[in-house]
Amino acid sequence: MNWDKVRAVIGKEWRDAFRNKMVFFSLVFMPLLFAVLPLIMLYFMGQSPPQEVSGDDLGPFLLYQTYFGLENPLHVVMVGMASIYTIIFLMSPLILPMMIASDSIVSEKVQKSLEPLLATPIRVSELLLGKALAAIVPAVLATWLAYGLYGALAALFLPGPVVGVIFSPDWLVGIGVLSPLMGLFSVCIGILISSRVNDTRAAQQIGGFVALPLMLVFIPMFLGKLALTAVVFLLGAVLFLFLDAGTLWLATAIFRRETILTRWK
Amino acid sequence: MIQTQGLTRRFDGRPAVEDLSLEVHEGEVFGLLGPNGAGKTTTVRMLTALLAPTSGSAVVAGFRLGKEDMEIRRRVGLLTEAPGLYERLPVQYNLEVFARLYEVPEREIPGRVEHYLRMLDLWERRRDPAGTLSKGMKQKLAIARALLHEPRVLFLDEPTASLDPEASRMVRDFIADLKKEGRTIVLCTHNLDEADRLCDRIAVLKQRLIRVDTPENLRRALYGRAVWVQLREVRPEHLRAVRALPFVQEVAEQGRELRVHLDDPEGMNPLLVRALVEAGAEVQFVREEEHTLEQVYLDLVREEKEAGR
Repeated sequence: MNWDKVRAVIGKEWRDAFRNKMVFFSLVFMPLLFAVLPLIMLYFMGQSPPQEVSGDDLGPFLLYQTYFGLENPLHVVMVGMASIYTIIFLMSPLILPMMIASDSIVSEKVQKSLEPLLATPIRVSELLLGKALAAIVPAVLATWLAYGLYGALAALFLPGPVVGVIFSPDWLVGIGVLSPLMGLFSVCIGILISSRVNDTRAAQQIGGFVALPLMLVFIPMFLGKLALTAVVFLLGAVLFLFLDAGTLWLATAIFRRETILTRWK
Repeated sequence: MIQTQGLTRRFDGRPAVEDLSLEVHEGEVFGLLGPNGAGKTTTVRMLTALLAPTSGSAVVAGFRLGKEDMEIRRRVGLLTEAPGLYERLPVQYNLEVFARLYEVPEREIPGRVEHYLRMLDLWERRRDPAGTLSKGMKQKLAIARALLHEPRVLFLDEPTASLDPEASRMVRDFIADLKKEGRTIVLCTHNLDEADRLCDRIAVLKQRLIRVDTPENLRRALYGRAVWVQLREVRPEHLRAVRALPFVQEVAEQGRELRVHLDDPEGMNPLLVRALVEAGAEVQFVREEEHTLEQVYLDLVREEKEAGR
């Protein structure tokens, strides 16, 4: 693996992608929304009189009462909601880089730059890894920044137990380790699709459809059926590490220079 | 520099290039001519290790195709039919990315990029997005991109296709400069005048190799050499005097002109003119018969078609 070439591909992808306003918007504005909207909701929830929430209303949030040892039912609901909102930061690297990833190979073909690119002494694995990292790194950085902003604003405006859950070691492992690996999986799928279709719009639409089943993973989390502990996140990270390696290997193995050059019109 | 032996590429059983055996020498400009679908681009793609041959073998810049493809890619430069630039990115950056991919040492990249941008009069436009350049400038930038790593062989696929005459000339002049530098260039073109002016040797392809030679030899092989002699009046004794000359192969009369086939016009024309004058002819003009490469090419392709191949 020649890392200079991987870096060259990453640099080119970034300079190209950030000149596209849609990509810039999706990478900057969406994470900001993810950070601010839940805070507004949690802030107004915190303004409710405490007597409006009783122990009987806790439902799926009972799990949080036990896990965090909270007594105030309002805080239990807020901690539960904060935990659910924090899942967004786990999910955002799945969604954010899809636009760059699904467009990565097909756009080279559309602007006819793929043939000169493939004529250079670059290996398919270097090209695809460069494209994958170019898509995932900004998405992960944007997610981490938004998560940091979310936590910092929470510390200013929300009660201590809520801030505690946002910055709990569990979520730090989840956002810090699992989230990038899940995002990388989605990116590898996007690149795989991009190398199999010959139209930018089709690549993006199929990429969107593929990201949807991944969301199913979050349903038990939303329903409170799966406690989001550091151990769960670490097990998930190991699983996605293998999935990432497998998908990148598959994308490299089925990347057909010849088919791309001769059949795509 | 390039040797191919029985190089064949089929797509779904249909031959795109068949049994191609040829040799390109170091420092020559070698033209690939042929109608659309003749296999020129497929040949270039095989020789630049982009497509694997179905059968046959080739050695490019000393490396075996199919076995040392990465080494071949390091030593060849390719200008594709479309420039394929990153249009949103600056001119200079387009070259820098490819310099890194071609493994040019990092410290040499700024100097090489500047050298080519200045050579091509693009230095002032270095910060502009490549998409804002004219077609001719884009093509020159694409040629510079193919030259950054100082390749031993440069493949140019239709370098002036879809360019206006001025841009075509700009690109052609640049290729002529590269030729003066002694680079080995393989040039695919439909522009026969361009091939005639730039190429040392030409291969005419139609899936298989029809003929390969210098433009001049191709003309001679097809038509031989002939001179046209215009007289004030053609009389039978003039024809007899010409036919009696031992070096004349054939004589035909067309109006006031005689078409005389002979091997060495430079040496024999004075004898021919003297014989005519001695026979009482008044010679007005003597000119060599000229065949454009276009005629040669069309006749070769027609012959091939008639042969049913």
